[in-house]
Amino acid sequence: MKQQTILSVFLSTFFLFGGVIFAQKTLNGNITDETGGSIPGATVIVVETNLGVISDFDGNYSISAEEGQSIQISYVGYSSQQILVGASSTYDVSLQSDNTLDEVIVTSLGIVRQKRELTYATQSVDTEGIDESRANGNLMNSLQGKVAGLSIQTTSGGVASGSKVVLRGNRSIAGSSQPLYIVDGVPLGGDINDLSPDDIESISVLRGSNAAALYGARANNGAIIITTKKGEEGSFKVNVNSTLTVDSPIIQFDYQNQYGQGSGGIYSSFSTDSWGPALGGTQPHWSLDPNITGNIPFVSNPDNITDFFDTGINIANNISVTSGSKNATAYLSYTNDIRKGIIPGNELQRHNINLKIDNTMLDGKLKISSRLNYIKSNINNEPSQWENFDNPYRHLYRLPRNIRTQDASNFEYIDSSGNSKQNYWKPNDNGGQNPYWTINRANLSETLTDRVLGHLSLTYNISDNLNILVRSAIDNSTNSFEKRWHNDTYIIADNGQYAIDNNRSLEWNTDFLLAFKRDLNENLSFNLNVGGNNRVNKSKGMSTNNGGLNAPNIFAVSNAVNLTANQFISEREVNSLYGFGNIGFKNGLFLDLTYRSDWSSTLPSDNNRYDFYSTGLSAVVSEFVNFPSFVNFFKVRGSYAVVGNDTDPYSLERLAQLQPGGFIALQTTAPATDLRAEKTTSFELGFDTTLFNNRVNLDFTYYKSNSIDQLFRQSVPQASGVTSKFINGGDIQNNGIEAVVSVGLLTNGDFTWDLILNYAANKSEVISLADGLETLSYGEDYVRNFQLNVGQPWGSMYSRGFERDAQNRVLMNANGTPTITAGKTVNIGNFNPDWMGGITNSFSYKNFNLRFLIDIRQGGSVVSFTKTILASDGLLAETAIGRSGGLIFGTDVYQKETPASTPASVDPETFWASIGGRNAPVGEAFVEDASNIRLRELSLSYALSQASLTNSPFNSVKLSLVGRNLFFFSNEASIDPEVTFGTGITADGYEAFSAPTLRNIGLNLKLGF
Amino acid sequence: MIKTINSIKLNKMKKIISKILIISAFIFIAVGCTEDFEEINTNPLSLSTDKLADSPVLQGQAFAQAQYTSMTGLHWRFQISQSLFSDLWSGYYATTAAGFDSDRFTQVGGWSDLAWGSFYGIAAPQIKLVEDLARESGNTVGEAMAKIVKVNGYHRMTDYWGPIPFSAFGNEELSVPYDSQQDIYSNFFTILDEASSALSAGGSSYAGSDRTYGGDAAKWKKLSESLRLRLAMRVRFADPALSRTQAEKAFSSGVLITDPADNATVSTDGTNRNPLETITNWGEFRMSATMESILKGFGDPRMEVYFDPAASGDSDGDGIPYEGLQNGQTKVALGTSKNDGHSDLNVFYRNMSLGGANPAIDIMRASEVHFLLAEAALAGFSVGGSAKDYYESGISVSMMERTGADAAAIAAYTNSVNTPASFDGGTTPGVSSIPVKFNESNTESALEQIITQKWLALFPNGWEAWAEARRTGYPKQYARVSSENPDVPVDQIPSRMTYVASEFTTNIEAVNAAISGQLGGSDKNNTKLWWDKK
Repeated sequence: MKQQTILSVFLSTFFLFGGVIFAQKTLNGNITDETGGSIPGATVIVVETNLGVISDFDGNYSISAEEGQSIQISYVGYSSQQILVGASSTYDVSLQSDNTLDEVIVTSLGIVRQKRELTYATQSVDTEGIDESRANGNLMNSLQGKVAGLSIQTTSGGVASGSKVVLRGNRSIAGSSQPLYIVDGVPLGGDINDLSPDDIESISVLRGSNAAALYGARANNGAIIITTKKGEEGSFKVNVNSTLTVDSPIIQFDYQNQYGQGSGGIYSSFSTDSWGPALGGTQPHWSLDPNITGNIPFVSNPDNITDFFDTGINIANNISVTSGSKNATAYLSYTNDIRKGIIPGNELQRHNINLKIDNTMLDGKLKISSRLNYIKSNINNEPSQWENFDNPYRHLYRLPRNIRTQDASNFEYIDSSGNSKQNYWKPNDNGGQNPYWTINRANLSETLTDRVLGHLSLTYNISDNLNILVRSAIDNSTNSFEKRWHNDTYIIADNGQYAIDNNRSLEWNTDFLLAFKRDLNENLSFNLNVGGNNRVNKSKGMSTNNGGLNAPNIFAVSNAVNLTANQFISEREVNSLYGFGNIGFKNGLFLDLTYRSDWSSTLPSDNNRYDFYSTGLSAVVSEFVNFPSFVNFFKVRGSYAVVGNDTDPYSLERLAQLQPGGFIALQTTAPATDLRAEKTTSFELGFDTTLFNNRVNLDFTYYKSNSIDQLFRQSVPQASGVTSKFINGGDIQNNGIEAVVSVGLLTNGDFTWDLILNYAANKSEVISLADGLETLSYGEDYVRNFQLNVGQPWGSMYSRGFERDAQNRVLMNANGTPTITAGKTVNIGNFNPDWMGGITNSFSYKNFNLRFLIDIRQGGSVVSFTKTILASDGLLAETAIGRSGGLIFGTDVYQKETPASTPASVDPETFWASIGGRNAPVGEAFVEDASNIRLRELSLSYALSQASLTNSPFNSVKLSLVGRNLFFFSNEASIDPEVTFGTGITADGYEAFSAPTLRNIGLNLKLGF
Repeated sequence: MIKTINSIKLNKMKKIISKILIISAFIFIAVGCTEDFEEINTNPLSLSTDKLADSPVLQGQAFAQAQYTSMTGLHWRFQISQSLFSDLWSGYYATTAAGFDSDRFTQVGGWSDLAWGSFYGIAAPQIKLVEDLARESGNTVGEAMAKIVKVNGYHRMTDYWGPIPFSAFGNEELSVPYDSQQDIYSNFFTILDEASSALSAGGSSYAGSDRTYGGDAAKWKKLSESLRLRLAMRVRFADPALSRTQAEKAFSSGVLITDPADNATVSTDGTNRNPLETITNWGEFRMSATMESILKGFGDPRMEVYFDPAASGDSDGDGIPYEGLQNGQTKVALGTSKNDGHSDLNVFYRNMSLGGANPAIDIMRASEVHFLLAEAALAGFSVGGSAKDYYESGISVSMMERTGADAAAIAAYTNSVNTPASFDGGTTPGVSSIPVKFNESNTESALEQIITQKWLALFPNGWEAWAEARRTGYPKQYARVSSENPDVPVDQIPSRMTYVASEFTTNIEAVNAAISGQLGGSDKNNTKLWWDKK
């Protein structure tokens, strides 16, 4: 109902204000450059109407406009000019070339700098459209494919799923490789995705630690700098932005539809496998409901998986108000998100109120900026992930092929004693569930979050050369989670189960910055800054678990069979002092120096300081050297940085924990008594150039970083008394190249075509681990073991594999199955891509704009745990091979493999049990190439011309058709290799009962008043 | 005029503001000092070991943790340590879960890895902590109690794996050497000597926390000597002299656990439960065919207290609704549920919501001591009585504590010549031909009688039952339906656990040295342990 209303508003608005025409006069003129040469192909538009023409070969143009309107003349590589139309009919224009020298970028600490000065790689992200397609409500996902070297993978889940964000490769063994988020100059403590895309003014990505050295430890992995919108000077303006998109899942598992429940070809209504007889006829009903007896059709149900899903719906509405005088501006914005997931019952509601007020006082000497952002969200029934019993996908993907939707959706019945019970084909199965039971009776949760971001900053110009900034920002959130499981959710608990989690977390940064700036003479400029930061992180939480319910299905703490409570606390304080300076020579040569010291509460008190520094040089060579005329601008840059890191709170002492029931348990990890701060040294070299009348812009960077003295836990023999020890060591090297090319490909009449390409390739290598340590296993799951091996790249996955002879032929068992290695000793590939790239095409024709983004990921491997299970369950299409008469390894399946001896024919149930399943899946048999190319984003928009809006209440109207993940151009794997199940360092390259990728299509309407 | 005043005001304000800003910047630096960092980095919810050292009460709680975890503790640790291995291989149960390969003699690596880790990662450091704290604080009774917990925990581990890290445990090094089983056993006896001697003076420790005897030193001495007897009989075929010395020493201490009132258990509560209470909820285990054959054939009243009738009643037509499942069922066969057709554990061991009792976890029962003495007597050790006396008193103690049977019923049972029966209604004969009635004339069959009765009395302590089954070969078990392990044919049972994967990644030199040295070169499921010499 609601979405229909919105749609009708969209459409009626569109038709009401379209196509009104006014009387005009014709203007003529000639467009030249500084030297008097004519400029063909320059764009001339009437600002008010947005209608335009292009100058001809001789630079002449002719356009209709009214007196009092303005025309704007622009051409790539030249500063555009605006002219007020007066009584005259002829306007000749001379354009000044614009070397894009003035492009500014927001850098560390919120400082705006000219891009030409920068000594390191940055990329400012095209934020156009992030408030339109909205990327499933996940702000970071809208950066996918747009930034060279930025890998963003969606984590499996529902309407509130996060993403794993990594710049320039993984580097931290124990910690996170995710970047730091900086909002308005201050680090953000919590989830970036709570921010409303409507409130984002700009995003720039500082890719290496060089750029981010000033932020200290947490910017080890680069930083993403976000500036929020502020009020504009001028009259009261209102903007409304509405988006409605729908999601549909892209299921890629290929199921068989020939055989149903059972084993050995014999039907069993009790079975969770599909190794039963060929479908056809009828079989006894599996239902436990005493009222349902007799037989049911035993037929194929190719849609029993997809039937489960709803259409996902995302509605986002934003209204923002801005108003301002010369000395005070205000921006107030309210965003409302409503999302319904493809899993029935999975919903999100979020309110986001953002107020920013900027004041200038004392003749412009004092600037006060304050921002208050309140976010309230309510998430219902977010699916659990991975192999969790409450993950609906786990049960859904495993539906036997003969189970009909109309039967399965009957998930509950009343037994003879009047109790509500689960209707499932295998009652009381440990971890088994009817997926419809899961979403209606087991995965019932509610997460409430209240988050406040407060920001206050004062800048005072003490003199023309000296100013001081004092700033304080908090990010405080409280979070309450509760979960309910009904009676008969197998083995979860007696009579149902109830759990509550309440947490609060705070990050509070206070800093000051004293900035001195002086031009020593015409050629030499100089600035010096001294600052300090105090950061406090605190989090506290309490969780309770009912340990079963006394009275069934009454979800209250007081109904606990065995109430247990757990409490946690974490606190950290870091003080920093830093200084940085910049010397500029002839506005073409720049030297940067930074130094920062941190004192962290988590390090030993006699050794709690660690330092960072960076140095960089930027030379605008084109300022000093004469290049051929097609080179408009050329800059080289290089920088070197050393960034450190501290450790987690409470790591210095071996502690014991009080346990419920009067126990005290000793911690299993040895304390870190002699800690050195971690260090990342990084070096980068690059150039920026602008060519061909500024039509082509190329930005190239080579980097190399070494993360050394890492602090990680090494597994030690358990009999040593501890399970792991802190080790300070390691040298993880990442090096690679990044390139961004933007091309103004065509400007012809009303038609323009712009192209942005980005490319990044990263190579990592484990240079060393610790003394005497050649291999470190840092994570394990059912399929894979992760090892860092000296001399090998990061991300190697080891699994069970086929035993082979010297000729690489597979050794066979007598029963026709391949022999399998006992341990996870076979390197089955590396999850890192060889390279990643993105191609953004932007076309505009008159009032239309078409933009699409092709996202490429080449190389790397992925393995699906789901498929190992579906194989042993007899569900995948390939498991239908050989059902009558058996199959032969190397001939019927795995044709690429050569058996070392003539294999016996084996029944497929035995075969797939030997290589699939949960306990000992053979990763080598399931690993796939993760290369894929997809249409990541598409947007087609139409903006109503100003002329047609003159008599309407609107200043602007724009309607867009938006879509994401529309299709794959190619995908080597049988799953979407970019869906991960978490953000941890072992999450890559692994699919485990993940939510499918969502295809997202919708409409966006923007109205300005 | 007004303008001037304004500009004066403005200048003044500027100065004030610049002062405020600069001062606040310096206050910031001053406040941001690091003096309170140590306090910030102290977790108020945890305890430092210093704090433990000062408090006997806290040490008691740490001791309780050692007691519970050394008997595997949490339900899932119990499952991957005991119920998936020794409970199946001792013949107590068969599994009905198709994915539990261990009933087909496959030692699933991931499980045994967790079993190893549950002891070495959780229990062993805790035992060491308690022992160290007690010694440092001069608590001799507490130290002795910790030593007994240590012997109990480690003998279970060496009985699973053979050579294990023992004397070098806790070296905090990157390599921890293994000790031979012979050395470990010899060490156990010395440690028990120390413990018993420290406990001789009486007294009490950890009274509020001790989950076995409420801190009573005298009772702990009983456990110390009873464990000595258990270990003495374990080495009987490997080192008969040591076996005799230690068994006789235990007997002559005069403080063995012979009365069920002294049974050594770890008490449970709603939070720290008997693991069976939880895992029985998962419907994965049923009475074994061997168990049915023996209990049914003997007409043993313990059948009804150990197990429940099968949900679908008498299926083999013998008129008795207790049904055992043959071990080693194939995956295909288990594709159809075997649960309703076979006997689950008695409700006593099942979930509290179903009326379960959440019983205490057995360390050692009086009945076991009687049977140990019976075997000792059979071996000719001087333990103050005949094999027959102890055999019968063992049955009697077990019957009384399990069933509350009266003396007449017990006498009828011990005199019965019933032999094990067919488990499938007559197709397959009984698993053995020994009667209940003791026959001392044939030493071997007498041993089979003693161990078979001990096996019944030990239930559900599969850990000890599997060790004794390997040492003595009793009770006889039905052959498995299938074995997936080429080293262990269907008519045998595994002799040990193979070493776990984590040792090969973290402690490879030591584990390889143990394999080539103490273990004799072969790390297999059919490699015999040192004490397995019969």
